[in-house]
Amino acid sequence: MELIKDGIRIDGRKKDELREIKIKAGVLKRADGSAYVEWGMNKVYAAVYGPRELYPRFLRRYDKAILQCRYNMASFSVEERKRPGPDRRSVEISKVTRSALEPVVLTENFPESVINVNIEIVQAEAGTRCAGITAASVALADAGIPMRDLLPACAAGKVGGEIVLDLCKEEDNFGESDLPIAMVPRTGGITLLQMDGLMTEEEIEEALNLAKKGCKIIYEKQKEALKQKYRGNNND
Amino acid sequence: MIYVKDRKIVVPGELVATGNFRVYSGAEKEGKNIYSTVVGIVYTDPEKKSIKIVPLKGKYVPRIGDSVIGMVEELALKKAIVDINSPYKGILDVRDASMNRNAEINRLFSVGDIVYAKVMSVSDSVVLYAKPPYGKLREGRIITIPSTKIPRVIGKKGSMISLIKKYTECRIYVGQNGTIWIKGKSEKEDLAIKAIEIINSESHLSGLTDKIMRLLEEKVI
Repeated sequence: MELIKDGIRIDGRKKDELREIKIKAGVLKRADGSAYVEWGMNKVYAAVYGPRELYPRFLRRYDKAILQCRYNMASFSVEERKRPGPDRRSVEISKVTRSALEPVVLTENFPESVINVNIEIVQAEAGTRCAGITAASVALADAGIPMRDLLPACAAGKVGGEIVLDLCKEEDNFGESDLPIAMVPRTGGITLLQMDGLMTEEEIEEALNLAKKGCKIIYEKQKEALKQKYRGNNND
Repeated sequence: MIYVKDRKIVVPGELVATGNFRVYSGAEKEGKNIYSTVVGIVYTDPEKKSIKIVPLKGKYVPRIGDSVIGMVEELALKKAIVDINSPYKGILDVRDASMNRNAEINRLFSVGDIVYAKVMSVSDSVVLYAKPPYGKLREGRIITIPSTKIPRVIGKKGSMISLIKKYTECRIYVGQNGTIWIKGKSEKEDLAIKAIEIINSESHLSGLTDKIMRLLEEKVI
């Protein structure tokens, strides 16, 4: 199978083109903040609760709130039924999501408390961790939690010997390499950086730059989603 | 240099201004640049060189001197634990709850009671004070709005709340934590709640006092 031919990819995109992305803020009424992201065929909900009292007490930090992230894939989110509950993969993604979000959330404003971030993958098609982080940061902002910046996330990778942006399912499964990142747009700092597969140093550099460009596009959509929520009753 | 128009909505990370400004809330400085940290409305004052961003949502963080309305959640030996709609629980000691020195907490309060109290200290735990004029609120109705919108409900020097009180003839207590207690005639209570709900949903628009005034006048006649 040829994954890329004359610069056109298997799903018809160009090398530096993202899948279609839709972001909506404030979709769940019970949560303090929430967001819904449709990214290609990915469908992701993020719900934020808190800051609230933390139990057990020994987890409390006297100087800041702690973040608790939970990434979960619905059993029907993939073609073959996924066994429900946490597994190695989702525990790992929960952990990297937390470490990606921690530097942007101003946790020192709410000492001794906890902020819960729940990410639910309803439908999956490669790149769910990026979609999850993108949704989670919009949900955090929607909850009114002070943040240094929104946190867009996006992947780049190597497919058929070429560096491409935002891998789809076939490219993820049969491509050479995948490199998801999360970037703080204000400073250009990177809070998530993972890679599987193999790439040379130059290729990583190229993929990183491409993924950063993708993050900037997603950042604009995140801003738009948050502003859209209040546009209805705003007079401009 | 201010990049955002007055009363515009900003999101976290947006560059609001560059230069020497006083930042009150909702933003942080990085060198000369001032970035927003919340989803909120920008209020700028170019003359005083000040910037304030009022969040549209968010949890209440207790501050000394605030008046709050909470619900008794638990009774301990000599104190009541009060839920004040915040990440932190309020502690109300018997000695701060009654003028009677021999008072017992379970005679003063039972679980589920509504208390109007003042925040005395926030250093270790949130210590409340409920001697008169504070104290237990009986009957009445309670509504909860985001605590960031309470200043609009009160208005400049209490203009908005006294307007509502005047037209609805209700007794109203406003808690800084976003809880409002109203007691009056049933239909007047409805009117007061409606007014507060409008303030909540249109808090970022100007001319709100006039709008509330019109609503109250129409209903009152």
